[in-house]
Amino acid sequence: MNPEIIKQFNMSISDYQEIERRLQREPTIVELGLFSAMWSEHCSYRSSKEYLKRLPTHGPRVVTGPGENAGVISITDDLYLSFKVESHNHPSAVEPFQGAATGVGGIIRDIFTMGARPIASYDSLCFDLPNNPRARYLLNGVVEGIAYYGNCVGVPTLGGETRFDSCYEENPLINAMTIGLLRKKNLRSSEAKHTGSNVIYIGAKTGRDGLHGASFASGVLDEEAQKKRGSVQVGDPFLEKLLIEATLQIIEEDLIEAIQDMGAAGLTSSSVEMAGKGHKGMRLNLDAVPLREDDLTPVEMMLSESQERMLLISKPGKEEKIKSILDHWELDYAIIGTITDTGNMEIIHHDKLVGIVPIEELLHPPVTSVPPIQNPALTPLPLKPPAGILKEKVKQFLQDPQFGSKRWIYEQYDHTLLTNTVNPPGIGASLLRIKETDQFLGVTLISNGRNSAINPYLGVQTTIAQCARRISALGLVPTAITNCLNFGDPNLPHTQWELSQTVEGMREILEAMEIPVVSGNVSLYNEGIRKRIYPTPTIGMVGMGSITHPLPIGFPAEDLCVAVVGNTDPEDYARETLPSLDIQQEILHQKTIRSGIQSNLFVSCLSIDRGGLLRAIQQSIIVSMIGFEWKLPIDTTQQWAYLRCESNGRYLITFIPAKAQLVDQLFADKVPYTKIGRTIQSEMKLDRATQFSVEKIAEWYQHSFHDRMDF
Amino acid sequence: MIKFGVVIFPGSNCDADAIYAVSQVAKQAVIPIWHKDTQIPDVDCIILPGGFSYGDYLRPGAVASRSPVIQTIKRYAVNGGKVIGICNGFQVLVETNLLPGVLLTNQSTRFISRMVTLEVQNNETPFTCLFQKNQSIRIPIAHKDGNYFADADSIRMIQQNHQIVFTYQNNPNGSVNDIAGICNREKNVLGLMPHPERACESLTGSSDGLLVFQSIVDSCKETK
Amino acid sequence: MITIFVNVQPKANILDPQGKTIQHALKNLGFQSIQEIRIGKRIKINIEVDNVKEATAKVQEMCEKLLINPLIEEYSLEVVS
Repeated sequence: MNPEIIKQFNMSISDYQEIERRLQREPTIVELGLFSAMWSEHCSYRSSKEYLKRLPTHGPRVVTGPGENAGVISITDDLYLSFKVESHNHPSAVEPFQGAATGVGGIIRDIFTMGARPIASYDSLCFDLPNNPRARYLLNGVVEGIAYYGNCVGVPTLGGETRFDSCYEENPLINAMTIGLLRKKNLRSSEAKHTGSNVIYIGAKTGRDGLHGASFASGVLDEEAQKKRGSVQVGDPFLEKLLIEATLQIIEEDLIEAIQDMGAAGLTSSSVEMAGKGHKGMRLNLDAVPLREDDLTPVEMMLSESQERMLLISKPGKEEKIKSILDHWELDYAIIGTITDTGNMEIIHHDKLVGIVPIEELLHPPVTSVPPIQNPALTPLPLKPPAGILKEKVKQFLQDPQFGSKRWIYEQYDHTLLTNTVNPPGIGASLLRIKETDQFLGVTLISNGRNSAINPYLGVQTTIAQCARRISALGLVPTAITNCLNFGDPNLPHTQWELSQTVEGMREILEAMEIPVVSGNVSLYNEGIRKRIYPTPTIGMVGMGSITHPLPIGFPAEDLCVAVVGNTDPEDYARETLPSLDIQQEILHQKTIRSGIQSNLFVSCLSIDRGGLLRAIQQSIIVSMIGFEWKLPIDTTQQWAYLRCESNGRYLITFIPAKAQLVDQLFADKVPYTKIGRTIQSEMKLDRATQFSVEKIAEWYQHSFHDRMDF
Repeated sequence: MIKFGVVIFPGSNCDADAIYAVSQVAKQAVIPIWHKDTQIPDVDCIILPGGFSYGDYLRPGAVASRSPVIQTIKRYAVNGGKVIGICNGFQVLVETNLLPGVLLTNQSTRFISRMVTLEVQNNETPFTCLFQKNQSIRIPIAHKDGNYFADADSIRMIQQNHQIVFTYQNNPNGSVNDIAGICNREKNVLGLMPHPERACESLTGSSDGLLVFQSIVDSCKETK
Repeated sequence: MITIFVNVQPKANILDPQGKTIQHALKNLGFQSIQEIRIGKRIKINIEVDNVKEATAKVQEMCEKLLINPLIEEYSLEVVS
């Protein structure tokens, strides 16, 4: 075969030679297309599969673990929650609006494919600092794209995070997470079960969107890739809304054996995975595929990434009923194939067999082992701490857009739709109620690339501990996680080292905390010509429980005792290594905090994580415009470090003085806690010179990020 | 029990919230009505819910307002039936000319999701009879095209006939005269951009919106 | 097959926040001489009708029935055969 054609499919020569070896002949162009898609990093996870196998995926609440479209955990015997996080980094770097929009569309599809109704979305955005005009341009496009798609399709976006660091300059990260609710009887899988069953295509027509997209995300971005703007997919959230209603109705009426959405590599990955899971084969008739343009070639039809399409395997005899539901919602429907028992994927076009490949070969690309070897030159240098007296340092912090209100972002996302939102976006984990039950859900999505770059093992553990603290601060029990591993070029030994360290770190803490991984995603090759991102494992954690009434966030009233639960070590601030993490202490602190909340001992509770104690105080003040006075005797030279360090295992609580003794008893000698001051009217007083009015703090908070973005 | 009908267009996404608010919180009967139905069941009040009917394509509410069910709703309204259009529903009502004016894109050109304070300007409608005049209430908004506009003559007429029902305390979108919701001359058709069905339980932020539905129930009971 | 473009513009008295925002953005890029920007849309219709007169009449009817909101929009038709 012409090496130019092989290159066009983004395939390596060694992979091509392996194909010829396995087929014992030259592949047809359609077959080459199938392999290029299924063997791409994005579809096969070939560089990360070995590591992912080591993650803990079992637990009493796990219904469906990794391997399906999304993970599923049980809330009650009959009520389940499905959730997953996915990246859409490369398309968003090239066309931010549509890249982000279709990313949202994709993750939502993964959820309703499981039979769940999507009820909330979250996004983690990692960009260069907002003083870079291109970063602002990308961030603006991405936020508009997420808003456009999420709002129109009818799924509220309830939270997320924004991280600014120059390492993301060429490779911004857009990780989107969605959760959905389902009744046990509506849980579906993507496994083909019976020979002879019909394969049905529903949703939008097929066009030339995103051609070579899956392989596009398996290559490093350069000038050439920027030119590929034409191959970015365009989403239609209105059509997806219709698809959600039609699909959930089809599932409710029990008309199908299996279902899969057409995501990366569209028809190819969905058909191969469905047949492969059930150890079956499939015969596809491309002439039956609904087309937007009539001159699509078979390769284009198989690789198109036109959005909003699903593949169903119907129960025998239910085809008419399925069609009537699709007619009601005015969506395309076509029987395009059958399940066979040959184990082959057979593609027919114009009555000719244009491709026949054993599915097992498509599902098992050759794995090249790259040894994990750390390159210490890639460890970031420690940051220079700010200079000046305490007042100046605190003021600088309060004016930093990194810690400013992200209202500019989340007010563009409908966050009251579906009336499940208890805590609005902005501070702490997201709290949702589940209608007609006494159950609540807590959700948080965070990452810390810099910590992982310094120490990937401890870095991800720190992130997971932070998630668990945020969930516990709501009074809920951390239950399960989804994760997206955003890393650089897997062919570099250092990236392999980052991956293996991250996974080992995750394993240790998740096993100890009994928190399984139920779903996830990997995004590799996040390196540009000049820059590589910090290894950024993004963790989405879900917690649950029944709480009598949600605790207020922040400082709700004056004259409350303010305390820090846990141990603060100011040395953590100056060190070049990460603050230590005692997993057993973390677990104990979580349990004790939940116990205190259940016993109504606290007036408010907030996890201390990013930005340290000072951030928690800042957030607490602006919620109700109540101030704070520092009372803990401390050496002035130590106070900044105390405020700013990120020691683990800590929470900021308030309680009424009358409950002080009960609070003492709760913590007894097991959990250290330190009273640091009390809430007061109108001001924040940290020391004699360092005082700011709450109005000033609120003004900086509202404007620091907002003003950068308005243009 | 009072019967509400909730109209569902392709792309409506606040119908479930309206159904929940009416049936689970206000504890009344509710029947879904499909946009293609030309016959509608016997109901005491019709709700046109929020969302993105037809994706907001062409103009928000434009395509939905040409649905078969709309002719029936027009007759229902002309005969005195109560109709409340929320957000996208309000957009449909102005496209149908059951209410005057038009909803333009927010002045900021962005979607705004926010809890706002409204003032009840007219508490002598079936939708607001349980409020005090000038009462301040907290109701969330979530829209990109909520900037109410009508020409000078129409505004004069709306003011003269006391058709302004809700105004914004801090105008978020540029609406003329801070208008958040208006009714027709006969006071049986109300359109508003904020979402009262999302403000029926204090757990989710505010329960001020429940009074809108309770007012409707009270008025319907009186006329029965 | 006759192709007609419907060129839609917001009416003169209508506030166009989109246009204003774009004008501001262009000013920031150095284009100082812009007096005004109004953003409308252009609808392309391929209609299977024999003669231009009938095609124009049909499109006019479409505008009146759905495509145009006369309160805030004005339009002109452009025939491209």
